[in-house]
Amino acid sequence: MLTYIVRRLFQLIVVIFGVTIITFVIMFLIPGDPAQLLAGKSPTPGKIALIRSELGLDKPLYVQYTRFVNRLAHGDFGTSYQTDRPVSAMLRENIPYTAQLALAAVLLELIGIPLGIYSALRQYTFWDSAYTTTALIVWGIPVFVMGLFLQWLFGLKLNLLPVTGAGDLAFGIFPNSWDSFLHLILPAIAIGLVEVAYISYMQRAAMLEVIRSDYIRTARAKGLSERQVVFKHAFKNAVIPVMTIAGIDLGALMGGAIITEAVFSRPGVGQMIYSSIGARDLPVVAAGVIFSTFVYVIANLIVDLSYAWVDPRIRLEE
Amino acid sequence: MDELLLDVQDLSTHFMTHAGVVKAVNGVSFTLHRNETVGIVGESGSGKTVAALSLLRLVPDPPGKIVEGKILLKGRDLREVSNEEIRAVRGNDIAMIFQDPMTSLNPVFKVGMQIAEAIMLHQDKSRRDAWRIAAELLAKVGIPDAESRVNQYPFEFSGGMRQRAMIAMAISCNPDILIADEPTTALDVTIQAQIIDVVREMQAQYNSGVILITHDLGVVAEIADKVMVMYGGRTVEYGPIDEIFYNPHHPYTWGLLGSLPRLDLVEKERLTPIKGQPPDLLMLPPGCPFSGRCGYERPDECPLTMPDTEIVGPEHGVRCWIPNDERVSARSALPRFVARSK
Repeated sequence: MLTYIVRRLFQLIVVIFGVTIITFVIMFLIPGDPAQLLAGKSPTPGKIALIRSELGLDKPLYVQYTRFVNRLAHGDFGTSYQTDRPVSAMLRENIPYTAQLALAAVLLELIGIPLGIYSALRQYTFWDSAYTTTALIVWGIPVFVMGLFLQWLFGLKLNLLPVTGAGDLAFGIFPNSWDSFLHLILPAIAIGLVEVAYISYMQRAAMLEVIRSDYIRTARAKGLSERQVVFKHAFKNAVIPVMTIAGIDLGALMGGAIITEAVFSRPGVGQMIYSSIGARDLPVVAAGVIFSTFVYVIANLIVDLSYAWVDPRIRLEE
Repeated sequence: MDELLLDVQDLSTHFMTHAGVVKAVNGVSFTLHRNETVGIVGESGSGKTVAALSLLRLVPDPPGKIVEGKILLKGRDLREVSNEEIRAVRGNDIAMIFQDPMTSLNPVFKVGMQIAEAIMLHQDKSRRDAWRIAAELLAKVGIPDAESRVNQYPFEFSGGMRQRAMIAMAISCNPDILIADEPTTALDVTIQAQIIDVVREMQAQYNSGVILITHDLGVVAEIADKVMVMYGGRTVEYGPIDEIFYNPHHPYTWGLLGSLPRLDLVEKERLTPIKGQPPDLLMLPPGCPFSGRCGYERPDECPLTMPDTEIVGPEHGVRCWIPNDERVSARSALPRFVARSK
């Protein structure tokens, strides 16, 4: 078990190398020069050249990358081109907001499991058809459309909920006041609702397959009540595929957070990445990408570990 | 004769599908006594399994529905009892062993727990006692090292061991009736014989009545007292084992016996297949489902109405339009029955 975790963490390092290289190449290839952007409205060629050499942008890409990796190995994410502040400080400020949003979205996502099971147990009924159709439609809505729609409906039309910003935090990531909680609702729904639809659809399919299997018939033939059959014998089997999907889906959640934070003008890693891409602020973009990668890989590791806990057939030591 | 356990009268189970009504079981009747083994024989799709599942009301509804008949367990009609009452019957009065041991055990629970669960459900036993009994049962059905095996998962068991575990689960509450639905089909031949032995031993020990569903006449010959031959959802012939093997009256039974290899003949013999395909259960003829494949068919009668049961021997009935004397002479012309007089 421990060797398995260590091996996975080594893989994480390799993955981070990969994504940073890709980030560097993309940032290098896309048009736009950070030095020019920083030089202000009427830049002189001299000023641009000065900024460029200060930031080390006049060096070839591989030199820039080696420097970056060297600093990273020493735990230094570098300094933002835009604000001249240490990137690590910016990460520390923004991570709690994104963590709050992600946690809220994941909690919301869990609603998909009972919804999917309920729908599966009532297959071919009106409820099932209506729910499945709705889920498919919601699943197809892009996160930013969902965000804008929620802002329009609950903010502009109904005037029920705040549509921008985020409240202050308490105990790291929790809203510190009712108002702060209200600020969380719309962004969390914007990301979470699509995931609820997705997870419930997958849960329904998994449950339908399990409920028809031979061992469920065995459980019924034993005389177990329908509740025991469903929640003991079927549930544990039906939740396994959904766990995998939820793990993989974290990527979508991270992507959704970037867009949602931008739409709702919420502070967070997503917002940080979004605005620094515009400014070609490479150290900040790279740090944001590393953070997302880290979360994604760790979350998948946790899913894989819990997988072995739910399903005895999986032996991690191979 | 021993106590009458089960009296099934005119049982019909249909499936309401989009394509139409599938008449999987159509007016089937039989009885089962204590210490008796009834074999239900027929090819795939003949309604054997649905008939057995109907007894426990385990046919998935929708689309399946028991539309007619009585299932009298010691006089009580199981069609009439509440859901709660039928659950008390399942696993307790009537237990079932299924065809495929590889998929019939829940993969994510320990074998011991799956057996102990039934014990805790139907008997007033603590968890610890139930697990102890589970281990004893595993030992009883011939699993070595049962004490530690109870703590293993199904994937750690071989196919034969899983089927033994299924049997242990089935007998755990000392049921009056044991339904074995093709218990040996998914196993290799040496294991098949062992499993049949286990079923027989358990029956002797618990004085159960056994319903054995199979398409393997060899298995039936070994353990059944009575045989019911099903075709297209109907009983076409039933009788004591010797009657069915040595005095079969229905052309379908002849076909089944004719396709069975024999070791007792000196000369090599070709197996005779039954020509044609099993009928589409959506489009059964109103008459005999075997008409069309039979070979002795009377086009004016056979496909149009189902004949009543004709008694042709002690407790031996057949449903066939061919007159008795013609049947006997037609049978004696078959290569299989020339050498087969008792």
